[in-house]
Parts: sequence; structure tokens; C-alpha cells
Amino acid sequence: MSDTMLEIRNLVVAFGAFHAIDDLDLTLHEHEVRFVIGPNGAGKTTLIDSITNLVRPSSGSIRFAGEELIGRSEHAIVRTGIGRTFQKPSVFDKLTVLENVDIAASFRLSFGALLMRRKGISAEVAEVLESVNLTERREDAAGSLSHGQKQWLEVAMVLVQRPRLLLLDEPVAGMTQKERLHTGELVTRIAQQGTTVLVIEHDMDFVRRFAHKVTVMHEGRILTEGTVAEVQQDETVREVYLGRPRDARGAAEALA
Amino acid sequence: MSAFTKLLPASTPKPSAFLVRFMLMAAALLLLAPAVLSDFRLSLLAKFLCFAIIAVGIGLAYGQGGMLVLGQGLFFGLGGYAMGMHLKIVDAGEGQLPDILTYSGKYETLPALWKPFSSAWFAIPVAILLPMAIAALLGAAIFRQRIRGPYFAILSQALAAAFVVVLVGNNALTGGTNGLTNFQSFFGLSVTSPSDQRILYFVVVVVLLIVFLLTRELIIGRYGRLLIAVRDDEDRVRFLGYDPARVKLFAYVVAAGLAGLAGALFVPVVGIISPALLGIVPSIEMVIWVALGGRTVLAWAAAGAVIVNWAKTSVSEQFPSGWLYVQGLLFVVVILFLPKGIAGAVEHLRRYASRLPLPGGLRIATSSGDQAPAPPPKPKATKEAV
Repeated sequence: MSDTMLEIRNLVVAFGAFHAIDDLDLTLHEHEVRFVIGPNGAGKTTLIDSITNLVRPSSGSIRFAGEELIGRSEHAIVRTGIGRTFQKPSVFDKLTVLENVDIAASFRLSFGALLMRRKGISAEVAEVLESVNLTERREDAAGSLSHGQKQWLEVAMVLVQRPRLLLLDEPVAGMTQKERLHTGELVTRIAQQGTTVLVIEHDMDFVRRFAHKVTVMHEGRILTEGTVAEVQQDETVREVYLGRPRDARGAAEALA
Repeated sequence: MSAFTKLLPASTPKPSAFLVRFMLMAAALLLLAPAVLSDFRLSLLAKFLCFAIIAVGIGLAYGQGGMLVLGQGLFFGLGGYAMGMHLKIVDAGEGQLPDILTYSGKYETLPALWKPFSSAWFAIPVAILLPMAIAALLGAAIFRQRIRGPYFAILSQALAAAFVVVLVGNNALTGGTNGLTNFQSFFGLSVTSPSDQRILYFVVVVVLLIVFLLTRELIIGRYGRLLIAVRDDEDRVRFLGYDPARVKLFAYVVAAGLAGLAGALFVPVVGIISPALLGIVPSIEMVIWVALGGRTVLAWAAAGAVIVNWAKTSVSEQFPSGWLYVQGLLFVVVILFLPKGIAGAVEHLRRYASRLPLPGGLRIATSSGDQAPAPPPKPKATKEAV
């Protein structure tokens, strides 16, 4: 096994008496692609939020490449090499697609260099725009993009920063089947280029198609980990999904 | 204007629409205005152009950065008093006390606060750097705590109010509510002579044009894009690895420096600096100029300062107490109908005109007056023009 990239130990995130994450341990190795699934309210997004300090953990430890992340500010965490996307795509609507990617790409520039005008399009920015099929629309305001395109733009903004660890929060929510396939291929390609990826996903079809190793979360804890096939056979996973009538669709898919 | 661009040879790089507009604007200010305006009107215009320098700063911090800077009077006042103290000392002559310090009978020699202002090399940098330093301290405290919106506005305004209290409370040292006045000279120029006032006018115009160009460059650059991003979604910017507090702080500090610079120029042009010029009400008025001109378009933000003040003077000359009503009405109209100010209205007209099926298209003249530099046309409906 390669080196440990992310090591979470005894993580607790409490909102009052409610423990959104309850004594969770999780280890990600370098170059790994990990899918995290689980019913609504399992704490999946809270997990990403606490890695990036959007929520502050009550206790525990989150180590990234050996360094403790808890207590660092959001932008400092990003600068250590962690990128994330959000469930609801958040891009800067008033800026053009190109400007969105460009300011993401410029995050390591010195302040003095930031004050200058952008000169042309850098090779990296052009490449990333191409990989998310947005080259044609680069001069359009990001606000004019479709929902799926905004999600891609957001992925592009993270990709161009070349993070070592990429956290994707439901990257295919609201996408068409074709867009899902493209996104899945993109995630696979990113991983092949050496980025460690953590994907939170609801869409079981997408998980089956693109996931190797899956972590199942339930009520703030890790229920089980394994390959897609192993997880699908797991009794407790069946119970978790079946025990919640509202997730009947998810249960049917998980059992399929 | 388009005829003018056609006159230029096609072989040289085509000047952008902005450059043409800027040159026309500069020509109007440097050549046309001095030729057609009386000494009195020109001196008034110089005063308004000082205000336009403040407005450029507000256009950056408020228009691009979304920070409602309701306390710019503080920075304007600091610049004004720094310059005013220096001019008073020079007017008094070597070894003499400025008149303002003799009234209380408390001082035999220059008080410690005044002493360094004997030197122009101290007074001029301080007029700009002190506002910047105070903005940096205040901004660092506020932005780091993630205080925004009305809370930021109230805090920045409170400081302007406190400054007035300090000035009035120390009247032996500051001239109190009367402030500093009766200036005689400004670096060899007589501030009372009409011809020297004309020279001052040119100084103000050149400073404004330079300030405008530099600020525009900032807005067009990556930093400007980043500032808009922070304005629209500060939290998202954090997750791109930037500290939004630093991004905002820079714009706020620049705006403070510009207000200080404007104050330093205002003193020789108008001949007075007093608490009434920099308290809460003047600070709010400064934001109104920018809101009325068009906060997201820098040229219109600057033009707003001139337009509003020109209107104020004109209305007050006809109806001495009428201006307050007009100003109130203007503010209501802007809030209800023109959220993007005059710039938004012009843009709207331009788009409306371009849809009219007239041969060659009807062109709306936007820089016909000698006050308003026209904003460049917006290429995309939702993209920010500069």
C-alpha cells in the first residue's frame, strides 16, 4: 500500500447534543479513489466540511500528508493541496468562465502578480477548460451556464489548482446521463494522473460504474468499507437502507 | 466618436474604445473646461474633481468590493487636516505661530502634534499614508472577524463620527468647529489669486486622471476579478485558497488613501477644512455620489461626484433650501428605479437604441457633456464593465 494521504482519527462533530459525526476513523492512501455513500443525514457532507474547516470538529484529528488540519483556516487548508466542490454548484456568475478558472489557477501567485492584468490564457487553464468541454463558452458569463456546466466549471476550478486531495460532493447530482458518464470518466482520469479523490455520491448507478472502494456511512459512523460487490452483499448495509422507508429507492438500488 | 476612430490609420494597433473615451474626457477637462468656464466655475469644478477622487476609491471598495464604506469622511478629513496644518505653518512664517493656535492663548511655540507638519515631506505622505494605516488597522480587525454588510458600514461610520468629536473637543489645537481656514499660499501659489487657482485646477485634473487610470488597471486585472468574486461569494473564495480579508483590505486601504489625497488637494482648492465637511452626513453623501453615478462602473462613479455636486450648486443658487429635497428625491429614484445609477440607465438606453430598426443604428451620445466620461460598452449583459 502506498503512503497515507489523509488520516482521520476519532473525529466528532457535534451540533449541540446531536453528533453529526460520531467517533469516525477514515484513512485514504495516495492515488486512491474512494466513494462515500450512505443514507441522508449519515454525515457525508459534514465529513468533507470538517476536512476543509467549513464546520469545526469538536474533537479528533485530521491529518493530511502528516500535518494536522484542525485549527487551520479554510484558505490555508486549500493551500496545503486540498480542493473541494459543493453540492450546490457555486461559481462566480458575474465573471466569465475563463475568469472563474483563471482566478482559481492564480491562487499561488504573489499579491503583486495578482494586481497585474491577465495576459492571454495559460496552457493549464486552456487544458482544464478543454477537459470539461467549456472551451467554447469561455467568454460567457458563468451565470449563463446550465446546472451541469456549472458543476463542471466548479470541477475545472478545483482541477486547475492541482490538488493532491480532491473532495467531490455529489458531483453528478442534477446531471443528465451523458453528463454523468463524462464526469465519471473525468474522475477516473484525474485519479490516474495521481490525485487522491474522495467522492460523495447518492447515485448508485454511478457508484457501481466508477467506484472501486466504497465506504458506507451511517449516523455519523463508518458502517463498512470494501469493494462495491462486498458492500452490496453486506447485511448491515441492507439493513440501513431497508430500515428507512424514505430511502426505499436507494435500498432497492443498493440491493440490486 | 466612431467617426473619430475611423480617422485613425488602420495599420497601427486599433485604439480601444476606452482609450478614445479617456482622451476625449481628458481633453474636455484640460482644454475645454478652462476655456469656457469662469474662474469661479472652474474653481468649483476643481472642488468637485477632488470629490471625484474620493468617488474613485469608493467605486473600488464599494462598487467592486461590495464594502459599504460609510466613513470616508474620516480619511478625507485626515488628508485635509494634514495638508491644512502644513499650509498654516508655512503661512505663519518662520518661528511664528499660526493664527489658529494663538486664539486660545495656550501655546507659545508649535505644539508637538503640529511640529512635524512644518515639513511638506512629512505632511504630504502623512495625508495619504495615515488614512491608509488607519484603514488597514480597522479593516484588518473587521474583515478578519468576518464582519460585513451593515455592521462594517456602522463601524466605519462610527470612526468618522468619533473623529469629529475629537476635532471639536480639542479646539485649541484643531480650530474646533471652524476648522482650518484663511490659507494664503500653496507651494508658492497664492490660493486667493484666480490665475493660481487655475493652475491648481490642472493639478487636480492630472491627479484625478492618473488615479482613475491606476484604479481602472487594478479593476481590470486579476485582483479586480478576485474582488468581484469576494463581493459575490466571499466564502467560496476561501475554498480557492485566498484569504478574502486580505483581498478586501487592499481595496479598503486604497480607497482610504485616495480619500486622504482628495482631502490634501481640497484644502488649497477650497481654502477650508472643518468638521462639517467630514462627519456622518458628508460621509453618506460621498456614497450617494457613487450610487447615483453607477457604482459598478468606475468612470460613472467618478462622474457621479461631479454631477451630484454640480446639481447641488445649481439648485442651491436658485432655491437656497431646495437641495435637500432634490437629494432625497434623487436617492429614492436611484434606489427604486436605477439600482445601477446613471450608468445603468445609459446602458439601458443604449441597448434599447441598438434594437431600433434605424439605418446605421441610432447612437446615444454618452460623453456629450464635459462631466461624464462614458463607460465602455458592456460586451455581455451580465459581465461587469469597468
